[in-house]
Amino acid sequence: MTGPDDGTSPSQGRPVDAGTPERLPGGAELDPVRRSVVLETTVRLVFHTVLVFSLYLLFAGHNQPGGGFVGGLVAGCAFVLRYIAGGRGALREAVPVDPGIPIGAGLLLAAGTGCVALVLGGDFLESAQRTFDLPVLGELKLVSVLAFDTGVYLVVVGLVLGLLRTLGAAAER
Amino acid sequence: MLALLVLHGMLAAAAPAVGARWGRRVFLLVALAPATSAAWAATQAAAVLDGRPVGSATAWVPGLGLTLDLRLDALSLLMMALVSGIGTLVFLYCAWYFPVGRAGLGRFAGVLTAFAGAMLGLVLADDLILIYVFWELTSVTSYLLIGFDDEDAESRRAAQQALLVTAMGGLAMLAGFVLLAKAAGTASLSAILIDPPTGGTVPVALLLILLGAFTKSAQVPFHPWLPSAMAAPTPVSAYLHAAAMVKAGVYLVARLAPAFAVVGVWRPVVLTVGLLTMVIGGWRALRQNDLKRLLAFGTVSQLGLLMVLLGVGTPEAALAGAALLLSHGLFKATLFLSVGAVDHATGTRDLRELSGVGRRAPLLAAAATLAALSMAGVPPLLGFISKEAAYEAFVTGSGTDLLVFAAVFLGSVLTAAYSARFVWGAFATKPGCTPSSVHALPAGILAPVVVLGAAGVVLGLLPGLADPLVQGYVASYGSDAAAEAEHLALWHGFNAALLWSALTLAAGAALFALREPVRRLQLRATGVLGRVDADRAYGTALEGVDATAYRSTALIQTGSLPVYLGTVLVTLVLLPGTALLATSSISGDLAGWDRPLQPVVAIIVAVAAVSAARARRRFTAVLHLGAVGYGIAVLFVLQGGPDLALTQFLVETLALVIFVFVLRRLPKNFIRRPARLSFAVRMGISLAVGGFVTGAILVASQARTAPAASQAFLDRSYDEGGGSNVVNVILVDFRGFDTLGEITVLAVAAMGIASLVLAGRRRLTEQGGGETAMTAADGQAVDELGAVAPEAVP
Repeated sequence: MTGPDDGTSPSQGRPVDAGTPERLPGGAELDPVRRSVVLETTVRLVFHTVLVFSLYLLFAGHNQPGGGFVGGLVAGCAFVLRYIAGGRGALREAVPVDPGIPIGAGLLLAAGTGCVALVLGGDFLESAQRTFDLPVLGELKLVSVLAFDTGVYLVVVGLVLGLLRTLGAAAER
Repeated sequence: MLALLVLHGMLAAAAPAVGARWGRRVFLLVALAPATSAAWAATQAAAVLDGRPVGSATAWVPGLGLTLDLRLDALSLLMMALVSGIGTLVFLYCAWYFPVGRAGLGRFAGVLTAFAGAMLGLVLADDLILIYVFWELTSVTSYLLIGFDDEDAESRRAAQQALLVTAMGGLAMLAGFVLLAKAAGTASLSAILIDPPTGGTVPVALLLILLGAFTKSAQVPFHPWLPSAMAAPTPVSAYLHAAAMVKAGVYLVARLAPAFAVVGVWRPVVLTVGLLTMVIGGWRALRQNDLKRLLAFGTVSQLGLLMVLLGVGTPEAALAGAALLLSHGLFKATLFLSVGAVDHATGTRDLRELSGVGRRAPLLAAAATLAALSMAGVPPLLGFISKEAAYEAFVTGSGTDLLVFAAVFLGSVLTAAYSARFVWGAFATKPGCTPSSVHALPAGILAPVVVLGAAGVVLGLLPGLADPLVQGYVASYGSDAAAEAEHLALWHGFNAALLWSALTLAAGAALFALREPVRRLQLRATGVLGRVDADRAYGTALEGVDATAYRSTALIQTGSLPVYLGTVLVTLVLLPGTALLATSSISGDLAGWDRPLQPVVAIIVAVAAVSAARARRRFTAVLHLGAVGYGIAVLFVLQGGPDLALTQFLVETLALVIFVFVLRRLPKNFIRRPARLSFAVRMGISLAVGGFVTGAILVASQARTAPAASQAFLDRSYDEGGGSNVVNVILVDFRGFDTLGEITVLAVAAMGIASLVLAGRRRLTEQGGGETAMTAADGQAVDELGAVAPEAVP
């Protein structure tokens, strides 16, 4: 997968003012003529909302449209936005991990869920559900496949991040 | 019994770590595994030989009806004496044989122990599938053992040859086992032997199983792997090629012969192959100068004789076979180990260079000579007794028996001759040869040789010790056979067999005395027969496979994307397309649309698709493709599939973005150049595929005969899956396994893309070609990827 040196080289000779906090990180690497402050700022505002929405899709997916795959794609779109607006630097700031990590974690989680069922005496990937009463929020129903779906979510996010790094960032040079 | 196998496994796993600290003394630890097995077998011997086999069954994969079914009967006990008894001595020998600081001994000890465990499992297994599993385990571990010296090309070739030949036979054998188990209705070996199936596929099954046995036991024409395997360290040769691995095929034949020797194909095949092997092996052994190769060809010859004796299916021959199995294990292990000792002491195994070794190492020479005499069939050694029994089995018969007898006699004469040649070559003082310098041998090397050599004498003088073991196997031919069978004895009186034994020794001695004329004759014969060389045939076959692979790859992998796509699509139209036309019809009862918005969207999609195909600029084409995708998503919404539509929108968006990333590196316009496929051809293919897909969908939508699975999913979604979004419940629950597979594919794809792109980039930076466009998207990077190790990617 991509190594740690992807896009870490600072841009050629343009000094970054160390005194002022970088409000639009990653922007330092962009060509000043071609960068759009409006786009960068908007993306900063929207980014977290999109991520939260992706999580909503993940959790709501069992009863309403959504699910791990769709949620992962939405989260991936959020990172795509960051990358388009802010370039490699912004992407790196948004997710400072190697894309292999979410992919591996996701696969492990999904397969692990299946194995847990096996250990508990069920069939591989057999699901279970339990309803809790939470004091303020009311009734909460948890289904074990949520963990599986989270695995799917992580793999998809990792895939999109990997594509951004390889076909996006790596191709910039 | 299972505990013994587990013990082997545990010691094998521990050996590498222990070996790193203990060096060659690790063999003393792992020798516990065969020693324990041998001790356990000794405690069970009384009951087993009394006709009460010991069994144990442990559930393994209940879903497939597989059990770890182990059974110790007389034949297994005999094999255990070889595998674990001789095995223990070989392990101890190893602890002194290897140089002190030799690297990789821990790994070697681990694999050797694993091999011993696999072999033990093989002789104990009472289930055909289990036998196959252990069988292949011995193949794999022997591959690692033969290739221990992995920096030596010869050694690697030998290992590969052994693996390919025995694994090929093993696969044939698996097919045979499956057929046999199907015909019998059970995979249990003991049940099959009690009530053997007949007719139908049984002869085919037996031929396949025999093929496996022949490859494993180095029968003609599969024998060359065994002499090649002499590249392995000598203790491995002693163990694998005397006591264990090559006996597996013989063991299997011995197991099946009581029940299946009556089947028509069995005897001709076993006798032809076995006798040919015996004579060819003996003939080749006679002209070897490397002592180890001499013994290897001798083993080939003896295996042929074993195959005949144990496969022919008469109690008399079985008696001789079982006795020879034991005596061969003893004398061949002794001989191999003494060659190792000679090599250790003098640094060579070439009998033209060795001289005067016998005088310097008298104890070694005495033990090896006793073993060689046993091999030649000189009284009063165990080898003599088994050879007498073999002669007895055939000499009184008529017709085929006499023919077999003649071949066995010829093979025995050759055996006597090369036994003499071995002793002379290894230990004699030769005129005109500088005496070899002999280092002192440690007791740890000498002791196993002496013990094994002495065992042949003791059992020869007191055949009553080995007799119950052999009689136990003869009893598998029925109690009548056991009652009538001769007993092993040194003296049967003056009879035909004795006369022939004497003749054998005399002829062997003559052949040895005339070794110079014989050598010249062999050279001349080699000139004539040289073209028929099984080892060369193996090489030619291997090169043939390589060449075919290269040619077919060059033919199929042209590197042109249009040709690949065209091939796939034309196949699609031709095969399922023809079937569709031939078998299906569409009734006229088709609705154009459900909602008026659908045809509007459909027209937009169609227009976008045509524009995508006609576009000159890549970017335009991609945008139009995107429009097609979004249009499809809208159709999903109209049809009432929000999940599907959502996914389609997102995938389309991401695909578009990624396309744009790649397009940055490609020329703006499609390249105009003479296309591999002309416009008309491409147009024709496209239209045909479009027509096929349309037709297939129309037919499929009307083809329902059973109720839809979706109704069951809808019914069970909330109760069992705990969710009301049935699409998601299907994905993560009902079809969770599929999804797991799909995300695995995603992960693999992500890694693949990363390797392709980053490897391609690395290549460019190495060439200093920063201006060259990145070619990963051309598919050309695939060709170069092989040259770049994945770890090397920064």
